[in-house]
Amino acid sequence: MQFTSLEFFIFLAVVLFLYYVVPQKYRNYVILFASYYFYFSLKAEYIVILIASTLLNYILGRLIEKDIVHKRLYLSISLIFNIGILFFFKYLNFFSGQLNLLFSKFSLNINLPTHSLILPIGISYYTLMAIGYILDVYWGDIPAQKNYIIFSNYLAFFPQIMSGPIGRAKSLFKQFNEKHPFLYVNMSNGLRLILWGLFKKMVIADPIGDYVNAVYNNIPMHSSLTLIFTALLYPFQLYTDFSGYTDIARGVAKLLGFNLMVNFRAPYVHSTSVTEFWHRYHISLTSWLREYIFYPFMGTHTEKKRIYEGILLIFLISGFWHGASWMFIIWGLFQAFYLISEEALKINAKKFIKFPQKQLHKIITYLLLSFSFLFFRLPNMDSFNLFIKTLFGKPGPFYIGNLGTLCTFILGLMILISIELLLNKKQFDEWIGDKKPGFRYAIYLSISLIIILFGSINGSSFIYFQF
Amino acid sequence: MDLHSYISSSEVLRFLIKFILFLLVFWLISYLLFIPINKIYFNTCTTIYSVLHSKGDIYIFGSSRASHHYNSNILSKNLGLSCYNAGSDGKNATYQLGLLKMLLKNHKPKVIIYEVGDFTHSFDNNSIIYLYPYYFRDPEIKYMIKEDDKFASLKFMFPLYAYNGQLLSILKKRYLSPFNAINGFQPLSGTIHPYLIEKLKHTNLENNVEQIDELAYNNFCEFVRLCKKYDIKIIFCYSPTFVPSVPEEFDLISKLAKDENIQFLIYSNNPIFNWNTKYFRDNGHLNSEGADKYSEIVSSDLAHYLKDY
Repeated sequence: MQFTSLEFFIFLAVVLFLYYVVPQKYRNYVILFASYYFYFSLKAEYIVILIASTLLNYILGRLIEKDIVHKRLYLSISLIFNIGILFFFKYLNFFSGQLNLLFSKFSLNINLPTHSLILPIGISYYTLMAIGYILDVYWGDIPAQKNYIIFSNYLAFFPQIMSGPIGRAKSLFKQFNEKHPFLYVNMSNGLRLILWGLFKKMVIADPIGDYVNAVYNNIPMHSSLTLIFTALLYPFQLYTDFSGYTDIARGVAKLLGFNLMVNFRAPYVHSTSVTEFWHRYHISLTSWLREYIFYPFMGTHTEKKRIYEGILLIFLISGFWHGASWMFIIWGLFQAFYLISEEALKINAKKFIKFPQKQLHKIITYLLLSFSFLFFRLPNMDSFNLFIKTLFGKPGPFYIGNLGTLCTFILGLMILISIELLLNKKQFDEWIGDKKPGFRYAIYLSISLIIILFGSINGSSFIYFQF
Repeated sequence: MDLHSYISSSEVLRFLIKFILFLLVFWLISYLLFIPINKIYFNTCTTIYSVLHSKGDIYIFGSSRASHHYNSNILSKNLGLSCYNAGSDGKNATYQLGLLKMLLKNHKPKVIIYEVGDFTHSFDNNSIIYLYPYYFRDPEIKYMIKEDDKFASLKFMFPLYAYNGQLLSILKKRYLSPFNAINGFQPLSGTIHPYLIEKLKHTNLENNVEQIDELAYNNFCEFVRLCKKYDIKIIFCYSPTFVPSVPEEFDLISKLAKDENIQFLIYSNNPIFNWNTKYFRDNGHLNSEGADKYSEIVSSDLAHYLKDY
């Protein structure tokens, strides 16, 4: 059941009807049932892991609060469990593979086993949320959640379970305790976000994906110009795919009366530095890493060296969180390098107000990011070397591929960039909500028509599901 | 508990009225756009239009390997029967069945050569969208689309959906480059890239088996049944590949061919073609020179089976 499928919207309509018809005290049950049904429909067997994780973290959270003497022990059990299941499903094969390589280099006859289990959907997201909750309780920032249904909803909430945003316990527990009357404003804001998310995914991300895949699947067959164009295009594919998903997730939650974390603030059209980019891109992950890794790591230290080490640490984790591959680690190292350089050169502290200077910094930032995202997209260093070799050695015709696809994403990108230039720190629903009804409805109708005419209705799944 | 304490009827009503009004306006605009697009489509020389307006004795069906490999003129000349190539890039068996059903309404071919091998590929799942414009015109196509997509009735409530993802290609065919193939045959230019050859040397093609789309396979069987019903001779062919291979659905096709007494001609292990760079554009596709060579060979073999036609 994809977020972009009609099946999902029928499911959503049924959930909304039930949610608003049943008395308030039963609404969390409706959400839990809907969330488990949704997760079950994605991959039935992995619901066991989700339920086990929920149960264990619920019990340990309560024990940490109750039994102060042993709270460190309970925290350790929780961290071992959460990191352990993530390690088993996501990283075990990588480590086994690397160690086997090492053993073979030293002619040791040891072969560590690997498994062929598929990564449970959303595990990287709900595990971080579980760890965040346990640490909050351990640090005394929030009380342990007593209501098991609310705690289960916190981890399984269907709009966010697949790819976040990685919510915080404090905010979500509060919302699950609040009453959510049927409000026109929530419905209209929710639908606006869903429409905008569908546009990003179907009109931009999927068509760009077709083009990028065609080029990256056969790198040496393409010219330098095509490779440059593709490298510049890919960050937009990733962004529109992920932010499209996030907009739909936030919109769906809004229909139920919930406010999920803002995850993107037009990162590519406004960032004048990589540091600013990371304040606008995948905000829920970056802020999670800052709150639960960087700040504890820093403690009371303020010296530069420690800051640099902290940046390196969180981006190494960020890279590795995205996938068990050296390419993601290199991508993380690039981000750390950019941020440390900007910190050392105090680039982020400067405010670029003048037009040409500001635009130049935006372009430089985009180029730096596009280069680093090559490591995010290409499967291995051999592909990267092939890319570089072809880039500097092959003039030739520009690859157009399917003209319809090319025109579709160019049109989509032009609309996206125009609107995002106007958004700045606002979200699409807030921005459009301030406009006059005539303009608003013209935008809704235009976007809907573009989706029905040009959108990939039966497109691919969201990229971030694999993480 | 009073229902109205948590649902304000005025809020619900306000939302429902606006939402329904929006849908109505959207439907109206999309319908107004659908009318001219529909008119343009049915007056444009698209691939389907060309097939439905042709009158051949022999028809070639299949995906890109059909459209690029069978030179209709060579087949016509060697077999003494008029030939039309109805193959089309990336189209699976569901599309082929729909096309045959529509063709049979105006014209009955004597022989159909079906290029098998990739008719149930997962990448062809979207090939049915090319039949969407016929949803409102042909009840059989409507039925097929509904069989493929259980939500089709809902989606087609907005008629513009019939042209999802196709408008630009229709406009291109209408105003820039109309479908212009020699009796449907679309030769490819160029030769196989050295990088692809190196890649193929290191690829185990046997491991690349994709999951078979059951609906497409059932439609393939239905295609065969329909040919039998209309007394059309059908022959399965598997044209050359750069690397020796067998069709992915070899067992299924062989069994069907045996059960239905259909000739099954395989050329993918032919040494004239295997690893011969001058005849290929990529591993699965012959270039113009290769297609002509293959058309000569296949037509001389077919002559044996078609001597009574």
